Amino acid sequence: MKDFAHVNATSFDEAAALLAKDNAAVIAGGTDIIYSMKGMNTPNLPDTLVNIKTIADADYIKEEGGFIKIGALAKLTAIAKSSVVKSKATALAEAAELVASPELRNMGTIGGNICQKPRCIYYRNEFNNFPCARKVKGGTCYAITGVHRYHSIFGGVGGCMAVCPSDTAVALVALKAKIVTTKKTWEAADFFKVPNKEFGTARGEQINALDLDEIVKEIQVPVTSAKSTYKKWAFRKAIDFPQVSVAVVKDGNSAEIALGGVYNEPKAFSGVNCADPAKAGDECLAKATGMNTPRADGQADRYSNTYKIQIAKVMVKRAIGSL
Amino acid sequence: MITLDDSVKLSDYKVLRNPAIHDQSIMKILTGKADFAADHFAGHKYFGAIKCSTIAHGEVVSVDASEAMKLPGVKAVITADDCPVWNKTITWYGQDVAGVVADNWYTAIRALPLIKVTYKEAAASVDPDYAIQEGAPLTGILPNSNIGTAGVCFRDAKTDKRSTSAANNVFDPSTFNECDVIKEYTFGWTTTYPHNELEAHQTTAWWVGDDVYYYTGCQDITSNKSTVANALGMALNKVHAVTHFNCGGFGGKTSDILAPQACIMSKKVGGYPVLCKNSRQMNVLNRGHNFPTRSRIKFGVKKDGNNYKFHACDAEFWSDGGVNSFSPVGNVFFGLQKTYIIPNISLVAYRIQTNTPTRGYWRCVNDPCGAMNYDSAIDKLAYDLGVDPYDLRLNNLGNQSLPDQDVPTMYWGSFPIKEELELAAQKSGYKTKHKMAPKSQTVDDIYHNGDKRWYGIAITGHEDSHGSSSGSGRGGIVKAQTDGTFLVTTASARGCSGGTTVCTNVVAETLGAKPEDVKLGEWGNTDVGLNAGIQAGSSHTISISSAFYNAAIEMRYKIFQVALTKAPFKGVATSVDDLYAEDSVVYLKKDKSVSATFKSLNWGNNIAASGQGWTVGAAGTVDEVGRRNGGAWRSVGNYIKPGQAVYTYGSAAAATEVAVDEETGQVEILHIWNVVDTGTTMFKNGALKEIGCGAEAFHNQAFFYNTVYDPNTGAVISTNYTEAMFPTYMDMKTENHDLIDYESFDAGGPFGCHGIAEPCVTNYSSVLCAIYNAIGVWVDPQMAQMSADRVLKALGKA
Repeated sequence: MKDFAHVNATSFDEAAALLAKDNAAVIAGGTDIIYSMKGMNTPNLPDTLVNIKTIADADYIKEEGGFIKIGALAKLTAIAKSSVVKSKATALAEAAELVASPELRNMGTIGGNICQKPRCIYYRNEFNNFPCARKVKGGTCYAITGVHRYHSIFGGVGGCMAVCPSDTAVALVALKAKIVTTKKTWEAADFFKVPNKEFGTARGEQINALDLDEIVKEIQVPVTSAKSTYKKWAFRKAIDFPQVSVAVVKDGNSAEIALGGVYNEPKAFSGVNCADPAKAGDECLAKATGMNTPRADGQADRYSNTYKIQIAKVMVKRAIGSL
Repeated sequence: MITLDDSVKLSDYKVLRNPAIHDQSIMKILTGKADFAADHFAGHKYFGAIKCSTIAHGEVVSVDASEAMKLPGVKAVITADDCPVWNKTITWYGQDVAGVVADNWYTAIRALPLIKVTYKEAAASVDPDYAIQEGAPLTGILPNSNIGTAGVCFRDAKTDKRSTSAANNVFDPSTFNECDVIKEYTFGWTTTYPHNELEAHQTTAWWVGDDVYYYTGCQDITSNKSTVANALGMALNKVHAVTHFNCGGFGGKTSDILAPQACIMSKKVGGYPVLCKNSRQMNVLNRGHNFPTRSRIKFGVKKDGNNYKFHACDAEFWSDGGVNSFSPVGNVFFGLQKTYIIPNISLVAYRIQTNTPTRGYWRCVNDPCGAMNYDSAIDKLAYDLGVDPYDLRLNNLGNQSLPDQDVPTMYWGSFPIKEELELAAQKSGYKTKHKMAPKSQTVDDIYHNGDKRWYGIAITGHEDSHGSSSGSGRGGIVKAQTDGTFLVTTASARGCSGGTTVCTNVVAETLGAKPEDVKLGEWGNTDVGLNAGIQAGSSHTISISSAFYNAAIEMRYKIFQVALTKAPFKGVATSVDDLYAEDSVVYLKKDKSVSATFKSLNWGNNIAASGQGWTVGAAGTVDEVGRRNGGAWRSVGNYIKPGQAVYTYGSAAAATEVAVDEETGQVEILHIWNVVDTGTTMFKNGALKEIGCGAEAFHNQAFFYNTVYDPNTGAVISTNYTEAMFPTYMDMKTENHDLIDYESFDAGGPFGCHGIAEPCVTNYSSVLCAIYNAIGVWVDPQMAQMSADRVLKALGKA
């Protein structure tokens, strides 16, 4: 484990100031950052962890001004159980309920869930054994010629084929949520744009566009009459990251759809005609190619991820059909 | 026909199955009171960590530790120059190249990247299919090739010849001309699965003068000690090794994990205690993985009424041994060759060497990979022949009254596979549920738009090659206590509590002691126990119980000799043959009113007896005190007539019901019935738990976990808990898993002697066959699992 300093912050502004001053990162639930600190999987690890759990009153869930407002420190368990979220932003409650395991949901926060790092098996390899493009300037993406069973089916971003592993991110994009930080208010779709120009630095490892000294304070989900749902497909039925996930917000025959686990960012489709759920699935996946590269010796690609295309089509169809 | 000693009946054994559990190790582990390597010298030791190679093939040119040594807290760095068990020639990504000793674990870990290793890299062959191509780089494992024949089995019915020598192929290919139907099948690579991947392997070592002491977690402490002695050029009596727990007790499967390294690290820092342990990634790299296997299997059958009889089989199996060139890959076809009667066979197993971590020595090589191939082939054949696979199996099974097909002088101690298959069929309701036509049944209409899941069921089963392995004899010591009780002691590690219960039961039964009067003494300490060989489940149980049987025989002789000198026997009895013991009381045979409790004999504190045991029963003689003995591994069978040679393997059957979602490829296990031959169940709850663990492990292998190697570098990239993916309750609901211990009275001994976790791996094939029964296509795992992506691929949807 890398040595680090640990500082308790009492306000978001104080925490942001600490981030600006040092090579620092935020720790809240700690379910992701400690993992990286122990495995030393990247050369861009922080020297200081700024603990924001000590910030008071940042775990609220309330309905206010046409939004469901959720404090960044709200636990995933609380979101999954919240009656207001369940009834008025069902997709988000379902997404929170499907994150990892009860233990991790009890520790993990909504802020942390949308700020976790990629789960690519090359990125996560300890001691930076695979200095990939995300971590090192000029690095390559090992998944392209290696194992890409779990990777993007819509091509890469900045040469990286990793996927967005966050369950709640997908729901937030489909729900057209806003994300309030210490610097600005983001539209969710913009928030999850991977900063590919920063690849090779700590910022480039993020699954969102936050500055390194910017902290999520609040999630705002607009309250609408549209029905929504989140469906997840993973190899295991629990404690697993999505290989394919889908959030659908359906209003009449029009749907806002976001796919997770298939691209660097939640893949958003707006105004999809969902009168025929199967066709809607086909439409969303029309441009998906997957990765299916025969090996140099001519043998089939054992690590092809084209299966995700089929599963995603079915997931979209079934998600729409369930509403 | 096997000939049991007519006088032996299970009901004769009073102590057998006694529920008294004398081994408290499980509770110690659960309550944190067990002494693991990390508990030694708490707060007063250094820590060692290992740096691994980042190339798959080549040479270490130089190791520059200067930057690492500058890190505060670093005490020493060792290289191959210090550590004779390391090699400067690199043959796999992850091989040990250097080690750091520091004043804490995190400093040691932080120092690893600071060690600069310069390599001269050579071309590598990482993929087994590539490694056997002409022109592929040599891996450096074998002199001139990446492939070797690792095992053969030939039979010819006409000449009644058998051969297990590659140079003596007695198989006549023309026997296929005598067949009514010939079918040939190929299977792709099965998965790679490591042993104990979640365990933290560690050794604490320290020196006192010229003697080295260490505590480690290991199944085979005797070999481990020898490895350390050889590495350090020391006499065995200067090496003091202790292991108390293995497997669930946080130990390594292989013999030398970290022990030589820790001892050398400690020596480098003046003998100060050093705890050397693996990171999670190192655990995966260094575990004994199983062999991924692929095959080509050709069957020839003859019509037999409404069914068919196997007549000829010509098969080749290829297994990836990684850098392991000594692995017993030939056993991959064991169950096919032993379970079924196939008059004419040619079975050849090739071991492919690749620049990847060692494989083998985990579970039995027959299972799961070989069995996955041949068990599935039998189902494929049955469907092609239009007969129920279950009926085809039963119609071709061997049986206990027949000698072994390859070693006609050997018989089977038990051979209950037919009964197990029948029990699996009965419990699962197979005959009413199974339909020959795939896609003939749906489970439910689970989605709003009418999507269906198809239902399938299958039963597979076979003899298990684990359970009667060859190996060194095991030693056991029985020590009489002053209070009339006994301690049983050995250098072997403790396995499951059922295994130690076997030993205490054997000693109590043989001595005529109450079960509670026989307790565990010191186990796993090479200084006070006899060399005990590897703790390896069933083979351990039978061999070490034989050792304790012999020790107890000697002990009984000695305490009876004491009794002859004391009242009430003095002057009444003249020979130990005049006495017998029961419930810790010695009686005069001819007058039961003449008796004395063990405690009242007051025999002092200096009576000890030792015995040696072997794994497989064969001819044995009886010495002057009644001990059975023999000089080879096929040796003593305590409960069979002298001269009778038997195999004492386990076997198992599994029935599996699945539902397959054809649109997503998702497979759900609806129910599994595991029937496992336990010999005699000593500790039922423990036995069932162990069967359950084995079954879960292979449910995991079938669907989730797979050791994944980067195809370009050979690096293990599935090294963290995210990819380990053990099945959760949601994936395999406990209430849908029936565990059945099938008892067979084994000629090798009535005290339980069969592996009971390993044979569950027949699940692997039963799942595959059930999927076929559901959807009508065969799924090729292709080095992954039978997971949704493979199912979709088989269906042409991915």
